[in-house]
Amino acid sequence: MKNWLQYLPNIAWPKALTIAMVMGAAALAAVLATPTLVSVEHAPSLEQTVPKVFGDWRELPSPFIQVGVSTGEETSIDQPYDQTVMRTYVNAQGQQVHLALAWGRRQRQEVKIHRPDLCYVAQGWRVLALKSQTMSDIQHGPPQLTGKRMLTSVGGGYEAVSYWMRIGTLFSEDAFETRAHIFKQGLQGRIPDGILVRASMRVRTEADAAQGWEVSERFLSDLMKHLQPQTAALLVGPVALSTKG
Amino acid sequence: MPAAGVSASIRNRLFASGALLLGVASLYGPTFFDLFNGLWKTDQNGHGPIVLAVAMWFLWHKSREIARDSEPCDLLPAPLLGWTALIFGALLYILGRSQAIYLFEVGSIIPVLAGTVLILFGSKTLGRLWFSFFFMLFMIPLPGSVVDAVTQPMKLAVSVGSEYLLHVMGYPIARSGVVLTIGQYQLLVADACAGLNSLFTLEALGLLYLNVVRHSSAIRNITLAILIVPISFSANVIRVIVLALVTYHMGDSAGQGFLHEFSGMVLFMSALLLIISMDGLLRKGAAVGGNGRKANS
Repeated sequence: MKNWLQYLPNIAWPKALTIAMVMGAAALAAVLATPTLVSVEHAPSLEQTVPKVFGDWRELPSPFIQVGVSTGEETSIDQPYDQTVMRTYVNAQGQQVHLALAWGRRQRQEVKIHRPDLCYVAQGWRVLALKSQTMSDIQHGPPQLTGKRMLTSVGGGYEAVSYWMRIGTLFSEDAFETRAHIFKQGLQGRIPDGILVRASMRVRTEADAAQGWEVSERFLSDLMKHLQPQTAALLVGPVALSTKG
Repeated sequence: MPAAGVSASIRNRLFASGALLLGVASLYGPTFFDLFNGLWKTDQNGHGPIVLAVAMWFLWHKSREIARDSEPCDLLPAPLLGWTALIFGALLYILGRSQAIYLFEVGSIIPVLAGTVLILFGSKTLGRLWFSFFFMLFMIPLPGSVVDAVTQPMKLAVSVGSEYLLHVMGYPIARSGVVLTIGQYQLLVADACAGLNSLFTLEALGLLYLNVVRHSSAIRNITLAILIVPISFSANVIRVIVLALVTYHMGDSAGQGFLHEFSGMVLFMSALLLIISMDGLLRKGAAVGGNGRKANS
């Protein structure tokens, strides 16, 4: 009845116990070293606090389907956002801008905001141009905010996209920078939040791209002027609150 | 009192094995719990559970084989190397687990287990177990950016291949990037349809096949291992074509529902058939080559 016991390896128990204790200690150390502090505990609802009418802009029920903000089918890892807003706005001249906000409370190495250049490609678009762009007229934000301009196309249409990605206090330009920031914060016990702020405009030709970017960035600049501080803080980080106080 | 002696030895073995099992469980219990509830449910890492199961089965199978025919003199513990590996693995685990870097967290299982084997049984035993540890490489989740960088061209290639074949078969097909339009339907070739997921699973199963069949010829083994990459590509093209045809003839809901799951089976069945027939061809080639040499001599 205890036959199977004889198959157990004949090993010295003090050795086995030492190894097991090293393993147990590592497991405990990992638990203790895991960051737990999140920077934003009570976030305002973006859906409710981002105005549907502001300045020259008003929301338009969109006939277009926007390019989603995730790269794949929607599961917990592919859809790492706590709040998203997808809207289309129109101004007095009839220019239409698509707004996409995607905010996540906890940014970790593999569960974090997706880069738009990857989202667009994953959903069948081609990225024709992608370059860094400094946006200076962003209220609540830092004086020089680093974002990106991207030109994409699918079928016969083009879309001029302007966006920034904020992870904690970092306006991220590439994936490695993002990872390094999350890692450094994590070693200090903190989990940064993160957001993608994206505005885009459909344009007819590649030559119209510059105009599309300008309109999109003017839209973002206008939007920031009409946000209450707590909401603005989600978009550009805690700078917004500290400059107020 | 021989009876008491035996039971004491068994008690010791039980205690030692139990302690080790508990140690491993304290490290990787939480890890695999998280993987099963998160990453391994995604398209890109869906191969994880299969690879884990095969690796563990191999470890078990080989351990029993070793236990049956190993002489005591085979056991030459290598404590220095073993402890180095174990400590390194433990540190890797702490960093990976606490900072959510799966590459380190899951990857640490190899030095941790290999170190334990070295401390207790030595390098000869580890050598006989190498395949299990090599196999575990496939279940380590790669960083998302790496997966995306590799997956994207594969998706595009599969889309182009499917478009070409469907065009030759006379279907109304058009393609823009990774979006296929067949008749009134649009299909997006998603990560799952052509990702690393299926390549890794197929490569893992292919290596398992090679290890089980046990060819003596190293060239044949290596050729077949490399051929698994184009085989995986072809199987993915077959899968996308099957899905496109199901959608075209039976409607969107059929393509997205039950038959989408079924197309995974199509993928693995066609890949397995391709692997086995490739292997058969290689064997035939080797036999012809062998005969040729005989005739010459």
